Parts: sequence; C-alpha cells; structure tokens
Amino acid sequence: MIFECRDLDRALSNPDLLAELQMHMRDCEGCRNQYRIWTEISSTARELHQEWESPALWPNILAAVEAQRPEPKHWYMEWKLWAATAAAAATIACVLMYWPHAPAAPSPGIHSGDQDFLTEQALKDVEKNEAAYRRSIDELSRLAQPKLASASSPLLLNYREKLLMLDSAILETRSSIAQNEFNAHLQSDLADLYREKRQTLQEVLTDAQRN
Amino acid sequence: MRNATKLIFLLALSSSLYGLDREEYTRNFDKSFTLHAGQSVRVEHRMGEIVIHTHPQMELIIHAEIRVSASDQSRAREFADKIEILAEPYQSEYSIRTHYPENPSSFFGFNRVSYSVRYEITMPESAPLNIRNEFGAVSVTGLKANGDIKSSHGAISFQDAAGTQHIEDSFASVEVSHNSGDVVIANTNGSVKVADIAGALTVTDRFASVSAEHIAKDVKISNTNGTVEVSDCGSFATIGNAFASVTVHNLGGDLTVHNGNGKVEAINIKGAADLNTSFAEVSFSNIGRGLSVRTNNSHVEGSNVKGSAKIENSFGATAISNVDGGVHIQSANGAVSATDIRGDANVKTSFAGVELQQVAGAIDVDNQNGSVNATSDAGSNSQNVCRPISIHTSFAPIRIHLAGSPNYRVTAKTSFGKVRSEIPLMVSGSVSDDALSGTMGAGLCELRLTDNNGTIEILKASSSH
Repeated sequence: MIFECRDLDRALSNPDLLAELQMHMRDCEGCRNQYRIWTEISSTARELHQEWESPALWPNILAAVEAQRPEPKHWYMEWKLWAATAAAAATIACVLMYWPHAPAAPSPGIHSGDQDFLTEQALKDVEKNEAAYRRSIDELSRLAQPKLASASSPLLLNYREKLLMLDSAILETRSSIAQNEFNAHLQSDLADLYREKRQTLQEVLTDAQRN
Repeated sequence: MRNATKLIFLLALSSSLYGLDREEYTRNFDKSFTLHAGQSVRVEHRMGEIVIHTHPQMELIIHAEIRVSASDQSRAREFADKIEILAEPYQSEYSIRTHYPENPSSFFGFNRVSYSVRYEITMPESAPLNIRNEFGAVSVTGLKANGDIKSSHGAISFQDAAGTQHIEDSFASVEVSHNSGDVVIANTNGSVKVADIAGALTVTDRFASVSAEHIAKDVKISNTNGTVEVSDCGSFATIGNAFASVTVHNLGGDLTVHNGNGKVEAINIKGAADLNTSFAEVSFSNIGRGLSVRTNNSHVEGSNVKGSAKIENSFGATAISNVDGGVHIQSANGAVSATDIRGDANVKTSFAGVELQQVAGAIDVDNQNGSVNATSDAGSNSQNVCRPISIHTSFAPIRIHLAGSPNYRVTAKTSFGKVRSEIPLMVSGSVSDDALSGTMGAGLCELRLTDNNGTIEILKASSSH
C-alpha cells in the first residue's frame, strides 16, 4: 500500500499503519502539521480528563440544586407526623371551605426548594466546575490562538468575531454574578456562554485541521 | 499566640457558617393605576422575569415579587426591603423601574446576598409598550399597540398582538407568534422563531437559527452562521446568510437568497427565484416565474421551472429538468444535465459531460474535454419546424439524436475520429470519414457539430429512446 494523506485519519486509529505514516510524514509537511495538531489535541484532552470531574457544567449545577433539597424522610414511619398531617389537612379543608377566594400569589415569607437561587453547596460546586471549565477553555484557546491570529478565511474571521463577542458577554455576566452570585439564572447564563465558547473553539480547531 | 487562636476560631466559625443552608425571603409589591389614552407603559428592569398580560380596560396592575437569598432571614428581609419598585406616571408614559441597593460588602461571606424581581403586569391592550430588561425573560401576550422590547441574556416571547413590534435581544431566543402588524427583530447569538404574522417581517441575527412561517407580507432575513428556514409565506422573501443553510418552502412571491458556504433549498416558489451561494448544494423545484442560480463548487439540482432558467456553476454537477422556457447553463469542470426543456438550451462547460434530453428549442453547447449527448425534439411535432443546433467539444464523442423528420443543413467535422449519420442526407462537397456536409429534409436551419479527437454520431431519436 502506498500511504497517502487521505490515509491519515485511518492511521491515527490503527497502530498498524503508524510506521507507514511516520515514513510518509518525512516528506509531507501537510501531514506533519495535521499530526502535530492531533497530538496536541489528544494530549490536551488527556490533561483535561484528569481535571474534569464532570463533562457538563449545567447538569452538575442542576444536580447540586436538586441535592440541596431536603432529603425525603421516612415520614410514613412516624405516627406523630401522620397525626400532624391529618390535623393540618383538616385545618386546610376548613380554611378552604370558609375562604374560597384565597390569594393565588405567594405570601411573604421564607421559601425553600426553589431554583431561583443556589445554595452554598451548589455554588461551591458551580465555582469548582467553572474553574475546571475555564482551564479547559484556556487550553483550547491556546491551541486555537495561532489559527485565529492569522485568520484570513471568512469563516475563521467569523469565528474570531464570535469569540470576541462571547468573551464580552462572559465578562458582563461575570460582573453581574459578582454582585448576585447565588442567582441561578445568571449562573445558568454563564454556563451556556462557556459551553458555546468551548464549542466554537472546537469548531475552529476542527476547521483548521480540515484545511 | 492569642491572635492566631482568634484567627483559627474565626476561620472555623466562617467555615461552619459557610456550610449552613441559605434562607430566602419574598416581598410582594402591588400597585394599580388608570392610564389615560395615548399613555404608554415603560418597564426598565434587570435580574428577573417580566410577564405582561393585557386587558381591554385602562387599568394598569403591577405585581412584583421581590425575592432575596441570604445567609439568614433577617438579612434577606433587610435587603428585600431596600429593593425599590419605582412606579410613576409621567405625561406620556407610565414608568416602572427596579432599583437595587448596593450589595453589602462581604466579610467571610456573611452578607452574601442574591436577588431577583419577577414582574407580572396587566396593562391596557391599547397602550404602547416599551421594555428594557437584562438577565431575565420577557413574555408579552395580547398587546394591541406598538411594542419596543429590548433585552439581553433573557428569552423574549411575544404573542397574540397587533401593531408594529420592534424586538431586540442578545444571547437568548426570541419567539413571536400571531401579530397583525409588521415585526422587526434583531438578535445576536440567539435563535429567532416567528409564526403567523399578518404584516411584514424583518430579522437580523448572527450565530443562531432563524425560522419564519405564515408571514403574509415581505420577509427580509439577514443571518450569519445560523440556519434560515422560511415556509408558507405570502409575499417576496430576501434572505442573506453565510456558513449555514437556507431553506424556503411555499412562498407566494419572488425569492432572493444570497448565501455563502451554505446550502440553499427553494421549493414551491410562486415568483422568480434568484439563488446565490458557494461551496454548497443548491436544490429547487416548482419555481413559478424564472430561475437564476449563481454558485461555484456546488451541486445544483432541480425541476419544474416556469419561465427560463439561468445557472452559473463551476466544479460541481448541474442537473435541471422540466423547464417551460429556455435554459442557460454556464459551468466549468462540472457535468451538465438538462431534460425536458421547452425552450432553447445553451450550455457551456469543460472537463465533464453534457447530457441534454427532450429539448424543444435550439441547442448550443460549447464543451472541452467532455462528451455531449443531446436529443432534440424540435422536429417531432411539425415537419416545418427547425431549431438550430451547434455543438462543439474535444477529446470526447458527440451524439445528437434528432426526432421526427429533421430539416437541417448539416456540417460535421472532427479529427482523429469518425462522423456517422443514421439519418439519410443529401451530401454536398467531398466525403470523408471525419467530415460531412449535406442537407436533411428541407434544410431549414443549421446543424453544426465540431469535435477534436472524438467521434460524431447523428442518430434518430426514436432508435435510442
């Protein structure tokens, strides 16, 4: 078999072809560059794998929010609770009977178990995940930077502009979070922006690799 | 030593407090006001959702839910009490603003407070509405006057309205449905979905998808890096995009698409279609009033065009069928196929074959390094009809199939090949293997076939079809 550039992808997943790839790369600068990019991506991915506790930020946030909800106790085992519940139900029934126009809006007071705000633990988890996410994005940015800096194709210029825009939005959101860090909407927004930035950087690298 | 002990104690205290659950406090704000005619409603807000309902009365009913999360209830309450809802009438508008106090500085995180305010407003349906929001969704239902909504980092949902609507957002989606007036939407990095608009629609977006359906009047969409889908619209549509596909189905008027590096699909267009792109597929069918395609490095394919079709392509195949008028195809390094053409066929390409079937009009093919196989139907219905044919190529054969009783003045010439005719003709001049001149039938028009390094065959259409 005569090794050609189109065999590169196959060789990367088939160790039997690596020797032929090495031979081919001696005379082929294009394949050398592609191979270098692949190696960098895969080594970076390995590093990230060690640090990354979860592949998705927001599912973790949601899980953390869920987790902070009070653990359901085995209330059906406790007869006192049964009695209290029965009494409460009777009271509510009486109130509903004599107060048919009860206000629909929530009355002032303490709320719990809602997802408007994170708890301390959820925030800790979010911050931890965010730090890991940022490290991975920084690494991807470092890899993509040479391509973006020398961008001449309309697509790469477009990506560069999008990344600038995302950076500006991330900055804006982080500044709002600094004043409102438990606000779940803000944290979710930031997670979306990071996710999009990571995806865009991956697209940049894929495009660079393709060309 | 004493200081160190104190520090350890404080650290222990802070870490134990850090682990405590937070508490939330909610305070409601309620206010009503009767607007006078012409007075608009303006809402300036951030950090929370705004929900607008309307009713026929002139009463404005404001309900705000102020929610605060803090380490304990008293701190949450204290902060919530300081959040102001400034609801004030002015001459031409009623203004609703949210004012958040300075977030207290945090020592070991004791005072870390978070907050949001959610509005639920019922307003007169006839009052114009102006909203500015950040970091919160906006939902408006039933507005029968002009609206101007600007938001960022919060989705906008707008439905069942009348009047002219201006909607602007970034980093979040916009959805608009059922508006009887014009709608203008500008978004960045957020999808746009619009349906059932009785007026015109203008959308600009970037880096996200746009879809529009059931728009009665003109549609103008400008996007970059996001798909565009338009369907069931009554008038003309002008669409610009790059790096993503454009799909248009069932359009009542003309369609113009300028895309770059993105696929274009146009189906059931009542008017003319002008489709431009590059490096991506172009497909079309049922075009009502003429077709123009300009692209390169693309695969172009389509059928059923009323009127004429003009296609420019290179480095990709072009195939078209069932055209009421003529076809004009200019390509390079790409195969061309045209079938059932009821007008003239004019084709130029190179390094690829040309296949023309059932062409009723004149045929003019200029090719290089590619075969030409053509069938002319010109003489099939009437003996006195003749449409000129001119075919030139090199390094490949020419085969021309003639239907009915053809009436041509024939000139066929090649080199390093042969000329053969299945149809009898009155030969004139000298006869050789690689050149032929003569007359078929009444010799009403020209049949000129020129080749280099290829054979030429003149065949009866019925014998090969």
